[in-house]
Amino acid sequence: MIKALFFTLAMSLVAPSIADEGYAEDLLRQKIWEGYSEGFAVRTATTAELNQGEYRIYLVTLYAGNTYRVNGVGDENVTNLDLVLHDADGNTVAYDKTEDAQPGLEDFTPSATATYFVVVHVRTLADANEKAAVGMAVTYK
Amino acid sequence: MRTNRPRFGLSGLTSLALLSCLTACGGGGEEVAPANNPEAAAPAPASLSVEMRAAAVEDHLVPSPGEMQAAMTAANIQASLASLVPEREMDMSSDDKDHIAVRTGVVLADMLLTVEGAPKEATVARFKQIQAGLQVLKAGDDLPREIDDLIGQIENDSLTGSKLVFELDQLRAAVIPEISYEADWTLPMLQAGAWLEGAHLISKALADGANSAGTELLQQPDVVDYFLRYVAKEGEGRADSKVLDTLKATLSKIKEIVSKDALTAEDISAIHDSTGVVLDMLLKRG
Repeated sequence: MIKALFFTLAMSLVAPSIADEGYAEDLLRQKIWEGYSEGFAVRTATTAELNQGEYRIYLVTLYAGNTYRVNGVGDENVTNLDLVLHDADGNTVAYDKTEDAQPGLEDFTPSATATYFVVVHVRTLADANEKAAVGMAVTYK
Repeated sequence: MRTNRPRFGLSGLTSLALLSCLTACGGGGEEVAPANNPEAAAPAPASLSVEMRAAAVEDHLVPSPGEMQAAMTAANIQASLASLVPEREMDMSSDDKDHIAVRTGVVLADMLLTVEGAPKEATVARFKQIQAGLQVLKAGDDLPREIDDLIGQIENDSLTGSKLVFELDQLRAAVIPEISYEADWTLPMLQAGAWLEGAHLISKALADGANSAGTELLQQPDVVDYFLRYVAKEGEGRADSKVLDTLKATLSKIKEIVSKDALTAEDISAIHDSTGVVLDMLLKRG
């Protein structure tokens, strides 16, 4: 039993890290809940597993008059995750300026109801040989 | 093809699993995305190319019913969409998945709009309708199990108020990746049901006091296009595509209207009538 425990522990120390979707989900849910106290409700919440340098682009419709908040989270392998918001023509509307695993965009209030693109981009990973789990939430009020 | 299944929020409220992995659902790519380098005075990222925009994941394009209400309030339209939700007898026993997907979307929209003021019996009844719909759609076991958890907590009054609204919001967000994973072809139909119901209600609200900010809320040609592309693709080669044909005709008419620069009272009325006709047809027993 103890041997097995040590073996498991040893394996966990030498085994390569794997994308931890549960960790990213927990973080994302925490972010969403924090926003609730400010009146933000969930519009979109999703996760993906990406390699270093990969990105995912999400198309969303945002209403004029509503205020939107976009948050990103990465698992423990993520060292720099980027978020960018583009308008329907692809022009950059907002982007995070931090080098971290939990970026957020400044609250955004569209002047017209329109489609936008949210880009979630895994810039750097601690272990670039493994995928990372990332999450993205769009909330509104 | 997806590489793993969604988990966000689907194994009980304590599990925190609700999100999906859409890893290969389009839009994934190598390092060609807009740059964001904070160490170099954070230059603005480059624009998105046409190709990158075309590769975007569309599953989250359709806005939520709650968003519609919030935007309507922001536009100083005083009506409450919840008060406009009609009483309906919804038959979820049909084995026609087109019908059931739309009906499930309508019930989901109605529940989200009414949950704050509805008696718990009404919310539980809607939950059970959604469960029945998901069963017909073969949408897996996780969502129905999650709904069972929620029903239990609602019935014993341990889930109320803002916490209930939060959990329903999370559930709605979870439905998208879960359906996308388990029964992806039905997702646009379910979303169409929710959107049609929302558009029907908001056009009713606008009829009683529209302003330009309010009418703009219906101007979503990209959303209508998303449904139309699906309907056209699904309808191809189907011997019996009556539901899809009806949807296509209605959506085409709505798209023509919402693509205008500005909507008139007649346009709003036409949207209300069109969505009403198609909802009546899709929601009637059978």
